[in-house]
Amino acid sequence: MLAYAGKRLLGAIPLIFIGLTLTFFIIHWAPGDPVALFVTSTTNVQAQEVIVERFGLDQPVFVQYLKWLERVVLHFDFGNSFHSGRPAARLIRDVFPATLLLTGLALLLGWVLGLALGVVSALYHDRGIDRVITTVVLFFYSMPGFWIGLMLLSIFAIKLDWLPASQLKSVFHSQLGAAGQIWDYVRHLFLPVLTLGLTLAAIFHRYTRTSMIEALNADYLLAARARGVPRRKIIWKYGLKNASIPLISLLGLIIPELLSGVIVIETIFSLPGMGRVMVEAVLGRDYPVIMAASTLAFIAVIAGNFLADIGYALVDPRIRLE
Amino acid sequence: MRRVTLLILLFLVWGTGCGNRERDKPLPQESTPETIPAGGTLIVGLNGEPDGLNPLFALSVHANEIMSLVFSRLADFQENLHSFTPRLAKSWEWSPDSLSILFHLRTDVRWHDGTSFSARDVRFSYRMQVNREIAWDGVAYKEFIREVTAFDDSTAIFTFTRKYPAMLMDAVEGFIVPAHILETVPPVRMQALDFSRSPVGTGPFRFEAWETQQSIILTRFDDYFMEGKPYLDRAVFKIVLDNSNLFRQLLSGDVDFISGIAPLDYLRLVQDNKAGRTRIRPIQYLGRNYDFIGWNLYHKDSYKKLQRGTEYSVDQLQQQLRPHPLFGSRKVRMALTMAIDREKIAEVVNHGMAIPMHGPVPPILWAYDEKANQQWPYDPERALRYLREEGWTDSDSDGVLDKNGVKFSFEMLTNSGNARREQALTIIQDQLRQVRIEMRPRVVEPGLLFSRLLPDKDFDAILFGWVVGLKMDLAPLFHSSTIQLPFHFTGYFSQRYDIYETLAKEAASDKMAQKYWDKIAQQLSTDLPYTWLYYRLECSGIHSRFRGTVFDKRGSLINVEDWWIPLEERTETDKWGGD
Repeated sequence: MLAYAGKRLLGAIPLIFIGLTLTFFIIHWAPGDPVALFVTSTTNVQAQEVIVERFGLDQPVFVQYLKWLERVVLHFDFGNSFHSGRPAARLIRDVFPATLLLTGLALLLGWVLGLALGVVSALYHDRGIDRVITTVVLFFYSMPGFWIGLMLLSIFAIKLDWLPASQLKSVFHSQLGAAGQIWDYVRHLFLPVLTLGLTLAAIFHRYTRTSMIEALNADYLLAARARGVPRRKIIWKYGLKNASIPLISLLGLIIPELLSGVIVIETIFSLPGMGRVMVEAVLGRDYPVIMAASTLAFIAVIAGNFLADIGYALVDPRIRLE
Repeated sequence: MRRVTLLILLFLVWGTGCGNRERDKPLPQESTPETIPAGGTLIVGLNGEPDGLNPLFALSVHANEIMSLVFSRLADFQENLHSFTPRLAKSWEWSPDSLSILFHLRTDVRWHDGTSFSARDVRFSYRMQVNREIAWDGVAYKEFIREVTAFDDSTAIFTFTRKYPAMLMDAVEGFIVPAHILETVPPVRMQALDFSRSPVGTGPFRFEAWETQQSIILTRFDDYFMEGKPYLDRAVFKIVLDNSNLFRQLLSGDVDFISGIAPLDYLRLVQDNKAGRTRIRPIQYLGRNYDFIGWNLYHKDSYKKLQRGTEYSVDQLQQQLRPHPLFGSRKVRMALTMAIDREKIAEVVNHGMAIPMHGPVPPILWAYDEKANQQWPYDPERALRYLREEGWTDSDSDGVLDKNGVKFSFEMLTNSGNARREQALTIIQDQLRQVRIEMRPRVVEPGLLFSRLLPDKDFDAILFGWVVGLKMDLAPLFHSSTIQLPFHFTGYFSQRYDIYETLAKEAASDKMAQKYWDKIAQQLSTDLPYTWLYYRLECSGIHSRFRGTVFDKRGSLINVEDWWIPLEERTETDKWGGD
């Protein structure tokens, strides 16, 4: 297992390297010039040259690439943002915990809810309760995340005014006691986590339901039932364990989707996060920030797949990782 | 004032000048400055995060709003945008040869860290503003300043290379930054300093906290040089990306002030306010934005012959540039202008929150004179006649005019992300069809627009807009010397214009200058490198508990130090979470 993990990690390095190299050249060759965004009516030709030099854009792209690579590999320095002048890595570090919190909670909610509903659907499949669940879930599955977000926002934050409409915490946060601060977070995160979680639950539900129905109809469960194994044990221990194998690979696949979903949620609810940093960087042609954020995104996706593989082995002893 | 933010796609032009305004009723008798109760919190909603708070580097509109509370200038614009109120400078006087201005500085000013402010800071700020490696975006203001010297702690002398009317404006432009914090740092490394995220200024509010992408909190500076001010304890800037969400938060009391309210939301606010359904007071004044159509006057390939960075004389340009097949003719541009119902467009796309514009001088600037503009009525008949006189007829009866086998068909660009301009584009397309001109709207991603299409002048026509600066200056748009710079994309040049602009800027008196600006307005509104569409009104809303507020064309947060809240009207927000 350890040897496998080590091998996978080593294999990930060239993968990240290739991905980042491609990203670097794509953004540099794509139309759009970072300097153009700094030009005001009073900017003269000399000032433009200064800005070009400041960003190192006066050199050939390949030289820029080598310099970038050298800084990243040797010093883990992603350079400074063109816009704010702050180190790109720090920009990311500032907002990464918020993204982790949002996606982590949403994943948890989606997983628990999706699994529970999926099992219920499978047990009563093609009956009334399954039809109701499936219809509701299909609704959340097919609706775009931003629409769900806006609906929840307008109902709970605007019409009913029960919950705040934006931010991760209130502006008075620092004035609150410890319990008050936690409650403040809960109130602020409730709608964004629900929005993202419902979409994820819909995805998990569909997979759980299908693979659970399959598992419950499998011969070995029929045999178990014939031997008088209690129903609860059949469902939760044998059935679910077998049914969750595809769910684990789903977890690995869902991370890129999560990263793009989070952009929408962060924008609607004005939360801090990676998604916003990334979008602003792309719109502003802020190359150092784009590269730093892409690095993290590549790592997240590869880590997701890696964890899914490990998860397989843990759930299913028949799978050997070598 | 001068600053671009690309995300919201405003671009600037400097300009200077007059307009309408909104001011609170005079203070009631019992509220003399001595009895104004201190305390309270202002929450301002912003739709984007500032790009930093170091005045030498930050460019965004939001950054500028916040910096105006944290930093001070030597003097501030008065409402006429022409004279100045002393700030860090107590007074100023001119040298006998009129080539220097001597500023007497206040001696009671402290930086937020307790250090005394002195002429050294003024000299340092100037040196950084003109430092090549800093590339400050307002550097053009300092073009004719030879040197700034600190005669003693409380006296700074600005020496100029020449005499001109805007000397004082150029001297006082820009926030003064602290020498004692920044002077030990090489300019190239300055932007990355923590100072950009936690600035130290001399303004009424000191920086307290910045939560990335969430909020910026400023607190009252107790040692502020205007004694007793500011009255408010706190100014909080809350970053909420979505404009409609921001508006809802204004209505629900989660934020106290926002600007840039969408016209339909604004109309609703006005109704609600009249009916007594909301405590939010609508505010409207002439803003800083106008939209226009820019015609490319020369053939796009002929610009390629010009060498980058070389200045060409008007004669040389005349030889090099070949007129645009459609818009090269002034008469055609007149026809196009008359074929477009600008008043209707102003009304429809802005829901009435705009006034028609006919010439190059923005109505808020002092040199504005509507009578100077050549006004073109909406007259499709006359437009068709002009086109016919220029040889454009529908010879093959396909519904589109043609001349020598060339169809009158072109592409009009606008930047993506601006629904107002996109809507205007479709209305214009429809109106041009009435005079048998085929216009194809094209919405372009801003990155492509600013990095390639506009700099290369690779377009036919563009619907675009400017943010007006407070200095009266049209050179970046129309002067022959700027033809290779990115904002001068129509290719317009004229010997006469160049002379007028120079005369206007060097005129001995405002009255003389006005004469030349009027000539410029007359010429440009006849030559029509632009067809001006509309000048937008700025729509804001503020919670009615705030008193002492002033909103005018200088901006929305120009006198927050004078704002106060009567004790009986304070809300939970003002108690700041119960303290």
